[in-house]
Amino acid sequence: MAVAGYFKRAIKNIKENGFISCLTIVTISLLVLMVSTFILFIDNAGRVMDSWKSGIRIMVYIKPDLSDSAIDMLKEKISDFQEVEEVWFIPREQALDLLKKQMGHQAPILDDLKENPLPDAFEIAIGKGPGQHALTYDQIQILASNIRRFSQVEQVEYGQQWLERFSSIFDFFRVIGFAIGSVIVFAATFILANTIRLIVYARQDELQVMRLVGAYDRFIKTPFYLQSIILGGLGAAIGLAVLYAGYNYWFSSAETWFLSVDIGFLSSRACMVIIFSSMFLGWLGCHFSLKKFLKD
Amino acid sequence: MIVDENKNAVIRLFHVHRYYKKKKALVDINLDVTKNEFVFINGPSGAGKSTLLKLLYLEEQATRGHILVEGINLSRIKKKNIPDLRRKFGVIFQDYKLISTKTVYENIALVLEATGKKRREIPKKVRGVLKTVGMEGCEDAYPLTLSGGEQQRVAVARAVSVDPDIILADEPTGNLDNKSAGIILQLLNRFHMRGATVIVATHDLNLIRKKGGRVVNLKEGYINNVFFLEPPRTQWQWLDTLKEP
Ligand SMILES: Nc1ncnc2c1ncn2[C@@H]1O[C@H](COP(=O)(O)OP(=O)(O)OP(=O)(O)O)[C@@H](O)[C@H]1O
Ligand SMILES: [Mg+2]
Repeated sequence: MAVAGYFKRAIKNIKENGFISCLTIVTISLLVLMVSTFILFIDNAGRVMDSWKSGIRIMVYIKPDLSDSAIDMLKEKISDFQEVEEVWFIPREQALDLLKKQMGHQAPILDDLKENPLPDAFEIAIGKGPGQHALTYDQIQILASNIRRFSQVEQVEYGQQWLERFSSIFDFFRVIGFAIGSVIVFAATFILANTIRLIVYARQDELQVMRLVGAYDRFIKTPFYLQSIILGGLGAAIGLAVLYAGYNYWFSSAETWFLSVDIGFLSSRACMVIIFSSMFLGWLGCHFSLKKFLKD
Repeated sequence: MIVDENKNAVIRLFHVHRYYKKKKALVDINLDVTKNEFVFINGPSGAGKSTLLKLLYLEEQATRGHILVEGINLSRIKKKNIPDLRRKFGVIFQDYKLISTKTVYENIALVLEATGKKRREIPKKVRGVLKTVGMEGCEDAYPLTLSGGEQQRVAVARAVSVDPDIILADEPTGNLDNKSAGIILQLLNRFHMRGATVIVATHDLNLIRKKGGRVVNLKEGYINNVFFLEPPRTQWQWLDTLKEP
């Protein structure tokens, strides 16, 4: 009953201040659109990179003249690493055949060789690390150097240089995104606080009368909190809806096969988190405003 | 005036001072108001009448001294108990404080709602008080479309709508002509008859003569004089000849 009354007054507040309420909702939805677009981008880019990373193979070249049992033992040891998913032995002859195939019509050069110059090798497919995340580039590096420590190992090669660079660019993006996100959170709180401040100013007389006749604090303040939370939530919901529409427009038909993963929308949990965060910012902005502009 | 044990006092002031920076608005005020009394606070402009009333419902705080309202010491009251204190009072503000963007009905309903009256009882209550002050039918009017006297009556209606124990009226007849002033005074008298304690701040001695009673005369923040005026029979009868609103 009391709650319904507060809601009624909050809705009335919004209606009576329609212009500024709309302005606030639009601004918040733009900010949420920016943030959630970025989250969507980071989220999908991360998954694309994970899939690329899980495609990385580590090549382990082994010393010549090892016995078959020594090779088997080495294979065992390598398989024992948690991060290693699968190990294939590639005999030097097979490697040479492969090389010939790749060289195509230039292959006859290799026929002049008296001896196969290639070493025996293992090819390693990398699995997931602890916590089912794709390995980071650092983790791949550590795995490689651990394998190199075996005395039977001549050399370890892995990964493409570009992936490392891509990885660091991606991390840089994440940091920038976080910074911009913080600024946007600050801006959204400020905008909501400012809206409440304007409305508090506009109703100064009314609030004073309420206070002087003995209205409880919560009677005066609750509608403002509700109003601010509604504006925050509505803004976030609209921002996400716009993002979803855009997502459907760009990605439902777009050819994304080359990325090797499906471009997914934010999970419903992520959407909830965004909406509730925005509502929380509404609460926070209102709190600042009332603290500063509603004294008795 | 020395205060001693006074069991019937609803309001007691002990050596109350109120300064605004250097300005002494009230100095060493000692005063008891008994239950169901009708008291006038009188004095020229700037004497401290409004300030005295404001101290009672805590729009302002005393700089020094103690104020008891129904036994509650205002200098020790907790912040969360202030609303309950204020609900004992019905205040007719000197500047009315009617909200110009709200209708007469909404103005009164707001106060009822703010003081926790049940929602479904509000419409009946509003109509009731408007009838009492003779303003029925003005529910949908905006305050600024009303005459001064009408606005004043709405202010009275709003103040009494919460059935207060104590009515504080600050210049309730400020800019009104004789007839309108008479109506307001008669209204206040009616609530006094129903058991309310009434404190009226006014500079207008003519108004006081129409009703009579204890008069606390302020001058530059001091209590200058306290005296009692007999209700002048003839003028009171004149008041009664006014049609009941
Ligand atoms: N908020 C304030 N700040 C500074 N001075 C104030 C304030 N309120 C009142 N005063 C001063 O205190 C003195 C008493 O003011 P108060 O309003 O109580 O007078 P009053 O008797 O009600 O006068 P009036 O008949 O004109 O309403 C005045 O000199 C006024 O200037
Ligand atoms: Mg005054």
